[in-house]
Amino acid sequence: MIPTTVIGSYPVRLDGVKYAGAYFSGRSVDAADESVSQAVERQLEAGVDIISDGQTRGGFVKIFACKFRGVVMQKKPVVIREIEYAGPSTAGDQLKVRGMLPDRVKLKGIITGPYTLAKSSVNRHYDSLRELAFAYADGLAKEAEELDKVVDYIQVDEPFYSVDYPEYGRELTEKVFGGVKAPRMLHVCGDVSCVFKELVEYKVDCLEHEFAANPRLWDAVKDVDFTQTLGVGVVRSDLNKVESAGEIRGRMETALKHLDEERLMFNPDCGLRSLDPEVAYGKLRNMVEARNKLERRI
Amino acid sequence: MYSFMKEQEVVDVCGVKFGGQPGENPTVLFGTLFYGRDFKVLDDAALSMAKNLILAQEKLSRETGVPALVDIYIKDEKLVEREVNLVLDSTDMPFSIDSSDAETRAIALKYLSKAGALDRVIYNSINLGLTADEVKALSKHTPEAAVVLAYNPRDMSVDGRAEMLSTGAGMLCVKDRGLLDVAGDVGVGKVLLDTGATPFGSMSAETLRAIPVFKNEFGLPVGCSIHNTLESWSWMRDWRQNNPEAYGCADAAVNSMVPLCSGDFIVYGPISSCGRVMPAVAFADKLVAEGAADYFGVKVSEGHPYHKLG
Repeated sequence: MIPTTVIGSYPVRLDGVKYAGAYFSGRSVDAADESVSQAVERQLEAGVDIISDGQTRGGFVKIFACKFRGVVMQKKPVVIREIEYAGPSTAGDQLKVRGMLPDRVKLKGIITGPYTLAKSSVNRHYDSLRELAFAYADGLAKEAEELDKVVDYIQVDEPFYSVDYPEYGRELTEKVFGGVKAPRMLHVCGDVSCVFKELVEYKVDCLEHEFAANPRLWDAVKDVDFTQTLGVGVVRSDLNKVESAGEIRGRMETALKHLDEERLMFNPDCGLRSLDPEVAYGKLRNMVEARNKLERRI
Repeated sequence: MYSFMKEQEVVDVCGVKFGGQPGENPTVLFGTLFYGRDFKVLDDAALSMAKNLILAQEKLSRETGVPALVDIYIKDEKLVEREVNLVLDSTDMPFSIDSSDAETRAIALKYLSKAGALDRVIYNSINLGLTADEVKALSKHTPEAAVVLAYNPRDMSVDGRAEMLSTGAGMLCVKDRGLLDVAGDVGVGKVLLDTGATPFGSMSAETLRAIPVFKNEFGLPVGCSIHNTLESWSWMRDWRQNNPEAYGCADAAVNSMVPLCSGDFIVYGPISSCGRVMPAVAFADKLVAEGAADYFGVKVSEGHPYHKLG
């Protein structure tokens, strides 16, 4: 069966009245745990095979950057000293999520890539963007090691690769994966037509891209020989509207014209954080339904 | 000490000025009335004590130049009428209405509308516990001003608190609106931002760090009730039992941190502590104003402790 997965973030809605009540009675209750639980429960209800923790603790840059010594969070991360890994960012949540999963469901740990962190930071310490990116990569490699103890897959997100690809990208990403034993995934959103030839050279097991919003990506893919599994975006993450299972199945069938089912995974184009929670759930549910119908036909 | 590039709005509620550049206007204090065991039963003796507390706060306010208002804490909707009447009879100053329960806040608004006093009301607060009925009540009986509380239990960093103001952080009963949008939607034109004090272990320092950040980002008057951080400190709770005087010093010191961080108002705790808090805040205000005048050329307002206290 072709696995379904998510790319990362998932929207949640919490009851403000409940948390206000706790606050005014003198207890400041951290709502992050409920956010993670809600995101996981919704992904499980939708029937997704490989889920994430929902990245509900904050923006995908902040979650990681604020955990490094040498970085202060303002509007953006500001690097004021040498970067030093100060301990796991997400492994604690992943451990909790692991305890919520039935055996059939796998867990994906997600790391925001060093190039994206470097491009999103104000650099007041390192001499170059490259030097900063590799400093982040050193720390993220330790994060990957921590995640490797808990999750079944590890994904690195590098959205900037589609708009500003660095010539040292491969070395950088592979540094993060270091000695990771779990299958390695690389997610680059946007239009990767120009860099796809570079990305297939990476030592990763799966490449995940935005095929729903950029169907012309298939033109780039068909001309390139590669060995990785392809994570095909089959629902749009930039559209706050649920696509029908039929429409999604059409995208899946297109994928099957290009690759054997053993080399495919289906996922949303990107994280779903900016969508209404009901819409995000509907997209995942229809994605799973479309995959199931497709499987029966195959 | 700070001066902001962003233009700072001065909010005027019945002649009481909140905000501006640090040093320009004194910090406005809110003393909470009807909170604690002295007001467990709201009998004549309690009401008489309440009136004396209001008068004492106002006397000290006149003496120091630190503006001080009553924050009417309403535990129960049955108390709305008596509490509000006492304040209306005792002072001509604006005041805030403060309850943890949205329904009680809405009932208080309705009563104040009937009493023709909405132009003196600072609603404390529009917060994540907002309900649809409360939104309706605010639209129908719109107060002169409102405190908007930035507390965000999903993310207690400054960014997270700002997110509550701008987007609601996925926790509000109204879709796609932040708390600042809600204030605008119901017609509240005068907004005070409360950074939402949190206890130790819950990014407490962000309560103060958010003050200059919010002023720079939103240009609005900003304050907090940092006293709550002190109150929630478990060590202090035990220690103060045998050291009440020293606790009072800590309370005064904690409140005076707010103007040093460029805060414009403080909900400082029980009104009965004004005698210790107000002089400490007057000191901080004078210090900040002197620095602002000397270094940034800020024009310090008339009646400010800077001018008033030799």
